[in-house]
Amino acid sequence: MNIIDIGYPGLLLSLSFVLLAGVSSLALRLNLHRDIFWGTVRTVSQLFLMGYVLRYVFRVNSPWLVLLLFTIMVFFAGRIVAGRVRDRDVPFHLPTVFSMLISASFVTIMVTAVIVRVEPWYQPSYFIPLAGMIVGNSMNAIAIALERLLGDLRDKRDIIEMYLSLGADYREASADIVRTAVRAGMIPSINTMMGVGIVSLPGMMTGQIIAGADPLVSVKYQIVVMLMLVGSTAIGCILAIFLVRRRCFSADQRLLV
Amino acid sequence: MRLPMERDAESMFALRKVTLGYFDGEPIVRDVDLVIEKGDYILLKGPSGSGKSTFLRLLNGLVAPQSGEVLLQGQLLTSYDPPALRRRIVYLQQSPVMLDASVRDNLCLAFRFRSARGATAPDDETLKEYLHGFRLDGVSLEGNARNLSVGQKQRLALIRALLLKPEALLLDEPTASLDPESREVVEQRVEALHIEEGVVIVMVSHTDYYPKRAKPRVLILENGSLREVAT
Repeated sequence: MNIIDIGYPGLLLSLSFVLLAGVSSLALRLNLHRDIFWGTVRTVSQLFLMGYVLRYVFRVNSPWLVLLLFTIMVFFAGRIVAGRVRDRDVPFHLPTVFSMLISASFVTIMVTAVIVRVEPWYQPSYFIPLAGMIVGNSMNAIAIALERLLGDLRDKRDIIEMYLSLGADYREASADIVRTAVRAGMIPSINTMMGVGIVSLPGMMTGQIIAGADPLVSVKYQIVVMLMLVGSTAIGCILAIFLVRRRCFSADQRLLV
Repeated sequence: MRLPMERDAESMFALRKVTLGYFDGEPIVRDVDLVIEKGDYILLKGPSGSGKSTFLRLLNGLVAPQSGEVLLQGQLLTSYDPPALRRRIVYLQQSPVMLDASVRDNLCLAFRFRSARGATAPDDETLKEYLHGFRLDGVSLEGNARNLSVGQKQRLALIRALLLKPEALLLDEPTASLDPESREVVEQRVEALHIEEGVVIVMVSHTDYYPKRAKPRVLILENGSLREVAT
């Protein structure tokens, strides 16, 4: 593969895009310029840091190091979810991290070991990008699902208490709300499947094509990626919602949110 | 006020040194002792915001006390299976909640739950008898319950509760937003239920309502204390 490296002058020039966004924010008083600034700083520093980490991990090629990096990614994704969900009454950080660990590790290992048949299954250049996509996607899905779950439990308290008062257990009382929350989390990744290839050329495929891969090979990869994202989103959302839902009710089945 | 003694097991509810409140506010009640007997009809009164609804929900475990014990027939409320307990001690909300479904499905809702295993849902004939008894003859079992008036929905909610054959009914201002006809039907039926079937009634009411035939005990919840007044 003969990929063209981006020189530092070119990289600096790409800052003009965010400069344009920042100037627009100031001119239109969007009050986004600080976020744009810090977003740019974080993007550049986090990605460079990840670049150096990946170089090291690729060189060492140890399954433990790969799994450690994967766990760190999941942990930070859990923190981002915690920051995005406004509700603070129910402790959902651990269930979120646990759900992402289970769903992302299961799906990533399935893809590397069984579908792509990478030798060894933990080869970092495959495992980490795939796991990263899964964790990122699950993070968004779980945040949406949790926000919906906690919001609905609060807004529909009268319906839940009606159910409980007639002898429903907490699962029966919240079944509709759980269904709606899981749907809300899963719909974005399903919608993405609808538009892929027509509306957008997704990142992985684009990257492979730029790197010189045969478009048909990258299409096959992209198909696997799209399908795995739907699967991992489903597993992650369902696990997270069921675990957090339990924490929204006391042992004697009172609604706690 | 009758204090809880060794008669707890024979009573319906007994509260021992119960403090109840919200996390961030003054307690609704502090160190309250109270016994509600099996034949009691309780009218719970007090100013708006005094915590009457929360106090009512304490009796079927929808809220928990901050300290103290709530006993049902001599046993801690928390020792009962919550769904089974709530089928015996049924709480009726102030605003009736109906699902977006037929009147039949709403009335038979409680028979779909796991806690109803072994119980048979009432047939249409029984449901129609109930509708007739609550002057709801014009209401179709197939119609959507959400399309009914508040008064009709409240009567349906009461029927839905009665189909469980509860030992106690916890009523949260059940007639507060009802038209005169609905109010009369609800009040009459609740009274009949108490007198003829011995169902314990605990009713929150901040109006001047007083039952015609039953002899209620009147409790006033005010400024963190609960006192019984002579009737």
